[in-house]
Amino acid sequence: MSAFLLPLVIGIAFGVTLERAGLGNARKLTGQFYLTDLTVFKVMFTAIVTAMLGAFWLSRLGVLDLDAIAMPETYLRPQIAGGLVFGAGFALAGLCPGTSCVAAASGRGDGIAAAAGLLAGVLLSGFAFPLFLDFYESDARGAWTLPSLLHLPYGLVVLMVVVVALGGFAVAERLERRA
Amino acid sequence: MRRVRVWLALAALALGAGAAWLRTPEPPARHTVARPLYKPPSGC
Repeated sequence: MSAFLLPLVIGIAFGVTLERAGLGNARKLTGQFYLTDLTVFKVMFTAIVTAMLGAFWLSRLGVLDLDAIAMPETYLRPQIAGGLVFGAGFALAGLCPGTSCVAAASGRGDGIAAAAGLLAGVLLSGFAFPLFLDFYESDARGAWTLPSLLHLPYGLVVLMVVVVALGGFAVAERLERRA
Repeated sequence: MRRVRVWLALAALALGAGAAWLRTPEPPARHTVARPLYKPPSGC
């Protein structure tokens, strides 16, 4: 039962947090594309840095076994294509899948429309799957990581990501002030 | 608020610098997500 309940509780907590951060509002999200409101960038990069530092130090302290964490594999061209489709949908609807559920749950009409479109898209692409199965499975690169890609030590890459994030936050704040 | 953000940034930098200094090797990435095998409908 907890296998079902725990994800539900985490999902609701995630949704409430997104809503409280204002990310159920399409105007706020599209501000990302006009460089007037970079909340999405800041929220996402903060999550990456928090999770990365948490994973590194918890593993270092022997609390977390990084080897036991499943890692998604990279299929370069299909994932670039998927990213472009995702981005186009995000720019068009002003909402991404998670935030469309949040917007729909809070009763926003655009959220309900985007969530319905999302479900219809999932269903349609499921039916059309045999058409692009070969492309879906192509360009497999295995489990790619930044340290293996850059040929740099793991800890150094952790520091580099922190520095890039902090620099990105400073630039984002400057852009927001200018807007 | 600004002071909190400065402290958080410094904490992140310190944790990152500690990570770089420790020279921990990257964990082996053996455990990957199993790709769901697509099977076309057989019709029955």
